[in-house]
Amino acid sequence: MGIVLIRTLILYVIVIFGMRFMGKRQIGELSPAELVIAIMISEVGAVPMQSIDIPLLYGVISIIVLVTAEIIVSSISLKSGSFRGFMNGRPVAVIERGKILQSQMRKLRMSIDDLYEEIRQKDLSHLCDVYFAIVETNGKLSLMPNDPNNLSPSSNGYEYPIVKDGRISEKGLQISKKNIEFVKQKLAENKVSSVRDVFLMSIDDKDNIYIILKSDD
Amino acid sequence: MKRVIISLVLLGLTVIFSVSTYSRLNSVSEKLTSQLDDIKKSADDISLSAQKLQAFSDEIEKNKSFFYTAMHHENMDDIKDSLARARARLEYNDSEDFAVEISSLKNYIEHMTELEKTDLTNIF
Repeated sequence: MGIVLIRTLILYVIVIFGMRFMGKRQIGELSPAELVIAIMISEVGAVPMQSIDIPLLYGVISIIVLVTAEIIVSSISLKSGSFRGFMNGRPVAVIERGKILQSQMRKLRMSIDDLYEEIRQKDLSHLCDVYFAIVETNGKLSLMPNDPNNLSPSSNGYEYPIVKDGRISEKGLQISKKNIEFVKQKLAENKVSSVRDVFLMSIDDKDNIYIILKSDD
Repeated sequence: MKRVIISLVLLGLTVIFSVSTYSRLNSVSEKLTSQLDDIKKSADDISLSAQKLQAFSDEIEKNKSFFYTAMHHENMDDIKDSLARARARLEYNDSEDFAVEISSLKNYIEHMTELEKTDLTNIF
C-alpha cells in the first residue's frame, strides 16, 4: 500500500508539472490535439500508479515524451500557418453575411438544431438575426448578429484579417473582395516596406484599414 | 522559446536514457547468458555448478535495482522463480533437470532483452 501511495504522489507531481509546463489553458480552450494529449497524460500516469508491477519509469518517460512533443508541435504551429491548420483545423463559417452555408454544415456534421441551440444561447431568436456564424477550432460557435445597434457589429461593419503574422490571408482577401495589389498599395501608403513586418492587417466593411506591426514584446 | 529548448533537451535526454538503458540491458544479459552457458557445460559437476550458480545469482542481485527500474517486474519474477527451481535441482543432485532449468533461465533472459529491442515487431 505504501508503494502505491508514494508512486501516486510522484506521478501526481509529474503530471501537474507536465500540465503546467504545457501552459495555462483551461479545458474549454484546448484544441482537439491538446485535449487528446491531456487525456493521454492522465491515462499513462494512471497505469503505473495502479499496477506496481510496471516500472514507474514507463509512465514518467511517456509523460515526458507527450509533454515535450506537444510543446514542440505547438511551437511549430505558431511559426507555420499551414501546420497549425493541419493540427488544429481552421475556423469554418457556417453563416456568411446572413447566408447559411449548407455544404460547410454538412462537412462539420452540424445540424440546424445545433445552430439554433447556439443562436438561442447568444440570446438571438432568428437565423436571420445572424450575420456571421463561425465554428472555431476549439469547437465553439462564434456568432455575430445582424443588427448594427445590437452587440458586436460596430458602425463600420465587420473587419476581416487580410495579413496575419507576416502572411497575406487569401481567405481574408476573398471575403473582403480585395487583392494582393490592394494590400501592397495600402502598406506602401502606411510606409510599411514588407508584408513580413505586419503582425495584423485588417479591413472593415467601410474599407478602413488597421495595421499592427510586428514587435518583440 | 525557453520552453521549446527545455523540451528539446528533455526529449534528447529521454532518448539518451532509453538507448543507454537498452545498451546496459544488452551487456548485462550477455554476461548472464554466457554465465549460464558455462553453468550448463559443468552441469554434471554439482559442486562446481553450485559455485557458478551462486556467481550468477550474485550478478542478478547486483543488477536487481536496474532490472526492476527498467523492466516489467513480471520478467524478473520469472527469472527469480527459475533460479530457485535450479537451486532446488542442485540440492537434490538432479543434474538433468538442473540443465533443463538453466536452459529456461537463459530463455527468460534472452526474452527480456528481445522485448526491449527497438524493432518493428515490438513497436507494433
